[in-house]
Amino acid sequence: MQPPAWLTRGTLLSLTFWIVFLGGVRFAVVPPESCGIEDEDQILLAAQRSAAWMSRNQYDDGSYVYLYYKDTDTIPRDYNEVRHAGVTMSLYQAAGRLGDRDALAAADRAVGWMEDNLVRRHDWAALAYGGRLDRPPLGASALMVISLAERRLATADDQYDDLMHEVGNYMTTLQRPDGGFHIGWDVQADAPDTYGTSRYYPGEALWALALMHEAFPGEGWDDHAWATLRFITEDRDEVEGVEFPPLPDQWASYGLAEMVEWGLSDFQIDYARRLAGRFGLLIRTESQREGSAWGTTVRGREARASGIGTWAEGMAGLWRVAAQDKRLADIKNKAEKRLHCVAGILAERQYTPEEAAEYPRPGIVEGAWFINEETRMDDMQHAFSGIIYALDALDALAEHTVRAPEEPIR
Amino acid sequence: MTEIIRAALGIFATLAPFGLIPAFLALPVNPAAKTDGESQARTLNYAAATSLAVLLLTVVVTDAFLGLIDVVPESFQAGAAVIMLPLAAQLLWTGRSMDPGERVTSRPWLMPLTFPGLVGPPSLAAVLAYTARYSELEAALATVLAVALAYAILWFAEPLGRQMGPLALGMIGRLSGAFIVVIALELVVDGVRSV
Repeated sequence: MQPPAWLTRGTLLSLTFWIVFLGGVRFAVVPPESCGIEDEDQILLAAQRSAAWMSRNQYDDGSYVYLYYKDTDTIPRDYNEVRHAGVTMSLYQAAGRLGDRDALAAADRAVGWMEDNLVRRHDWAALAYGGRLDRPPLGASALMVISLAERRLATADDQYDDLMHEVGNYMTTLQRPDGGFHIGWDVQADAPDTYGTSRYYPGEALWALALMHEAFPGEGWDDHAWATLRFITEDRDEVEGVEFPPLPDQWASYGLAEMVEWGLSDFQIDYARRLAGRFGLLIRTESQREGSAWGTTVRGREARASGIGTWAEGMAGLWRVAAQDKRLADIKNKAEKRLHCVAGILAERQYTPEEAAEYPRPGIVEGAWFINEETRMDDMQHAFSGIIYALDALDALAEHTVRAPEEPIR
Repeated sequence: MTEIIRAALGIFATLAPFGLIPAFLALPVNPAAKTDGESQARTLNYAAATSLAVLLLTVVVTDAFLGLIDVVPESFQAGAAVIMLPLAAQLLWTGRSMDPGERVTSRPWLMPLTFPGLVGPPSLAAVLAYTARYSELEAALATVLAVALAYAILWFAEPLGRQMGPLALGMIGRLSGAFIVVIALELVVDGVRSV
C-alpha cells in the first residue's frame, strides 16, 4: 500500500520531533497537578485530627512533644520556645474556630509553661528557653502575644491583658528606627543584640502588633505596626538578601489581613499581590509533586507539612485581603482554588488512625505528618492553621462551627 | 482592551508570517486559477480561513484540554513558552519559519501553509495560554486580530518580497524569532508571578 502523498520523510521527521519535544515538555515543564482530597469534610477532619495531636501530645508542664521518629520510636530531647508559642497559637485558633475545649485546656497549660519561662527587664517580659535566656528571641515573644490575642478572641477573657502588654513592650523595645527589629535583647549588656537578624521575626511582630492594636486601640500599637509593614514591604527583602523576593512569609500575610481594614497603600497592595503569586507558585509546584513518582522526579521531593502549611496560611491571609480590598479582587477566586488544593494535599498526606495503629505509639502518629520518618510539632501547627484558614475561604466552616464568634467559648 | 492586544501580539508572533513569505511565494500555482495572483489569493484565503477556524476551536476547548492534562493555566504558560522556542530558534537561525523547498501536497493551502505553517504547536500553545490567562471572548478576538494581521502581511507577500529582497526579509524573519522569545519570556514571568 502506498503511503499518502503528504507523508514524506520530512513530514515524518517533523512529526517525530514534535511528539518527542511535546512529550519532554509534558514530563519536565508541565507535569500533571493533583490536589489530594477534594471533599471539604475530609479536609476539616484532617484539621481536627491535627488539633487533637497538639492537645494530646503535651507533657504535664505544658510543653509539647517536639520531635518524634516513627521508625525508631524515639522522642529526642530538643525544644524550641518559638515553636512552642506557635503551636499554642494554633490550639487557641482551634478553640476559637472549632469550639475545641481540649485545645483550649492544652493551650492554657502551654501558657503556663510560657509564664514559667519569661525573662523580665525594665518594662518588658520576653519568652526564652534553654540556651537563649541571655538573648530572648523576638519571634517567641511575638508568637506568645499572638497566642494570647487568639485566646482573648476565643474566650473574651482579659486575664492576660497585662502580660500581653509586658510582652508587647519587648517588641517595641526591639524595633529599630527603620521599622525592622533587633533579633533580641542582650541581657548581659542590657542592650539590643545588634548583630543578628531574622527573616521571619518582623512578620511575626507585624501580626502581633496589629493584634495588639485590635485588642487595645488608641495605645499606639498601630504606629509600630505601620512602621513594621513599611519595613517588610519596602526594605526587608534587600536587607535580608532574599534571592527571589518577596520572601514567602505567611506572618506578613496574617498582618496584611489584619490591617486591610485600616487602609493599605497601593504599594502594600502590590506587595500583597506579589506575595500571593509566590505562595501560588509554591502550591502549584507542590501539586505537581503530589501523588506521583513522576512529579517528585522532576520537581524534587515533597515539602514537609510545616512548609506547606505556611503556604496555606499565607494564601489564606491574602485571600482575606482580596475579599476586603477591591484592588485585589481579581485574585480572590484563584486564591480559593489554591487554598482548596493545598488543604487537600495536606489532608491526603496526614496519617490516619488506621495507618497510625501499625506503630508502637499510635497517639503520636495519628493526625501527624511525617517526612523522612520525622514529625515535628510545628508540622501540625502550620498544617492545622493553614487548613482551618483555607476552609474559611472555602466557606466550609460555616456549617461546622459550633459557636458564633460573639459567643465566647467559656 | 490591553488584554486583547497583548494576546493578539503573542498569537501573531507565533504565526510568524514574515518567516512564511519565502515558502508562500514558492508554493506551486493552482491550475484552476487564471493568474498567479489569483492562485495565491485563493491559497491564502483557504489557509487563513482554516487557520482561524482551528485556532478558534482551540479557544473553545482550552478549559477541557487543560482539565484533561491536569494543569492549571498559570503552570501551562511555562509549557507554552517552551513549545514556542523551536520556532523562535528556527527563525533566529534562518529567518524563515518554513523552508521554501518544503514538500507540498495537492492542497498546498492545507499542507504545508495551514499545517504546520500557520497552525502548529507554537500557535496552538499560544492560543491555549492566552485563552486560559484571559477569557474565551478576549482570546477569540485576539485570535481574529492576529490571523487578520498575518493574512494582510501574506496578502502583500509578493510586493513585500520584491521590495525588501531576501536579505531584509531574512532580517525581519530573525526579528520575528526574537519577538517570540520576548513573548515566551513574558508568559513564563507572568506564570511564575501569578497566583
